[in-house]
Amino acid sequence: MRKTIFAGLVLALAAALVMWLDATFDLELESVVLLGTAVGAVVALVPDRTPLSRFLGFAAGFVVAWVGYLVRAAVLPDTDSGRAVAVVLILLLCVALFGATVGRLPLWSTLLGAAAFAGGYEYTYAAAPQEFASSSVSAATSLLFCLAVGYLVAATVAPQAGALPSRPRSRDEDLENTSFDDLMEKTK
Amino acid sequence: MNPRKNLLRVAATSGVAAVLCGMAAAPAVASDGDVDVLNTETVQVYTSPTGDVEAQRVYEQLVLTGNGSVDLTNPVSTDGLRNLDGFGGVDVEGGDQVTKMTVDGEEHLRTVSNFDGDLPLDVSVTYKLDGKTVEPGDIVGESGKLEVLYTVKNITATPQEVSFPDGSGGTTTETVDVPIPMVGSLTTNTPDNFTNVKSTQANMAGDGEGGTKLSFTMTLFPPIGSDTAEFGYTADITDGLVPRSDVSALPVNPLESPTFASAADSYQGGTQTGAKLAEGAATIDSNLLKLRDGAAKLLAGLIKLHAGSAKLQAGLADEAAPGAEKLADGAGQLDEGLGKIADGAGRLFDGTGRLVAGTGYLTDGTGRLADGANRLSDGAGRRSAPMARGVSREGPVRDGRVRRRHRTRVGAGRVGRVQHRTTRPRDRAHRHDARRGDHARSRAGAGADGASGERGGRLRIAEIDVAHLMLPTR
Repeated sequence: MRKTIFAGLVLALAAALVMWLDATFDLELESVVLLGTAVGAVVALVPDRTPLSRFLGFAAGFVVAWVGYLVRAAVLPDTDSGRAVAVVLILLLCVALFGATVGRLPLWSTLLGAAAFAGGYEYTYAAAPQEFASSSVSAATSLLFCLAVGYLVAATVAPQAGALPSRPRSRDEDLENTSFDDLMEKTK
Repeated sequence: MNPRKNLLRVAATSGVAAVLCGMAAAPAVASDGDVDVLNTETVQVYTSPTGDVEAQRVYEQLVLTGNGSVDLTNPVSTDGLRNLDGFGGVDVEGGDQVTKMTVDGEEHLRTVSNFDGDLPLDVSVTYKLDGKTVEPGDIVGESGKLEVLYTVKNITATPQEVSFPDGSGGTTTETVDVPIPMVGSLTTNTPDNFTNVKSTQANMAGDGEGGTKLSFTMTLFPPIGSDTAEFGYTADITDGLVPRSDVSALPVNPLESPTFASAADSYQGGTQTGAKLAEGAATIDSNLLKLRDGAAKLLAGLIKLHAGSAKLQAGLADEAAPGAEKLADGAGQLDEGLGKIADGAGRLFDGTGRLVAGTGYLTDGTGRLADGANRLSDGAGRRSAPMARGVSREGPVRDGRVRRRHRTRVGAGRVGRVQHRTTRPRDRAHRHDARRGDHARSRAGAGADGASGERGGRLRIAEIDVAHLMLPTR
């Protein structure tokens, strides 16, 4: 508990440091500092599988969202249906990645990566879709910097909750590891 | 550094490309029903901080309103053509977007493609840092006094024949470069590290975030504006960067736009006034030509007058003055001669009087002579009555009387060898002032009519001849 609070404080200090760097070097990170550091910390703090798998899952989702915006800018119509298709496409790709990796990349981290990119880039993209080539790179680099800070701080300071199984347990395994009393307690 | 801050975006908004393409850009519409079609085109250009074009796209936007089926053909740029309003592609035939659809209310068709035509505006930007011209990249991170100068030029001018009153009742046609009337604006937002921002051309205001928002307006067509607009700003910068700028421009109809209508009316009125002025000037010009011709004639006359005056001067000096002197001398001589004439006339008058008196004496003498002759004849008759039949040598004597022949001329008479002068009415004139011109003329032309006395030989002096009675002698 204390370590988690400490990790939170360190994360806040890290975010403040990023803001200072942004102000000092005019990095224009202010719009994504909170999003990036927080999401990065989440990826580090969630006790699911290994940090690498979480990171890779997050990165995969990030790239999938980027590709989704690329398709939206280059191919899809600039209409509600076009935007809906882009959203569906991104989600389907995340699920497809999860399926393709046989669950080795957590679906949640992939979805979180896609959400992080969309959250940090949607406003900029909507303002000037034709500037996707330049604005998406700017948004991605800004976001990745903040994500990295949050991930590193949380991964370094936060308590290790122990690795969860790298693959989902089957229902039979769950039943085998559950005592009768627990089952009775759950049925109440 | 965010690359967006180094990007100068130039956006030529609705209608610019449509005007660039002219009528060719207007879609051909075949409608089975009542459908209105509105087509607008927007060219969007991204440039470098110095104004060099990096990318340019054209957005086509068709709005169909009404009810009925439409068969539409719209010229478009087919490079990278994409449908923005649907998942389907765009039907293209011969470089034209072809659309067949049924409209019930309102339909939108939007496409985007890469633009490969000529841009209506030429935009360039120059930067000076502390008075020295620098590249945009040299400004980043630097401090000093920044000067930014934008130059926007309307390059749509094409040669056209324009007819206008020539001021003399006719029209003149000339080929002039006529640009598409365009207006525009350039906006930029300097960050808070730009201080002491100044511009004489911009509308300026704070942006609420510590920066300064500048807006420049451009009227890119003469005579209300100019086809080239130059403007800019200065600022003191620290940790410098190049702010993003947006240029928007669109064509206008200056005769209908409320902003320019009054100015256009003023120019139209000025044009009409100018035509009248030109007409008046032409009249003045023609009159000036006449005046010039008259002045030339006057000058020629003055030259002749000068030459004549020179001759006159020479004549007066060389001929008239000596002649006048001669005339004066002649007049003096004339006066003297007239005096002599007057004296002669007086003597003539006296002589005439004596002549008259002598004539009386002569008449008396003649009478006595006749009496004596009669008496002589009578005496002779008495002495020689028997010789009554005598013969006369000189003439017959009839009845004892001698025929007497008497010839008289008016004005004068001569008896024997004596000449008598007499005056005639004409000669009285010579008693008048001898200085009168008629005297001179009389002297010059009348000759003897005006002279007497000394030149009495030329006077026609009347003679009285008395026939001498020649007595027969034996």
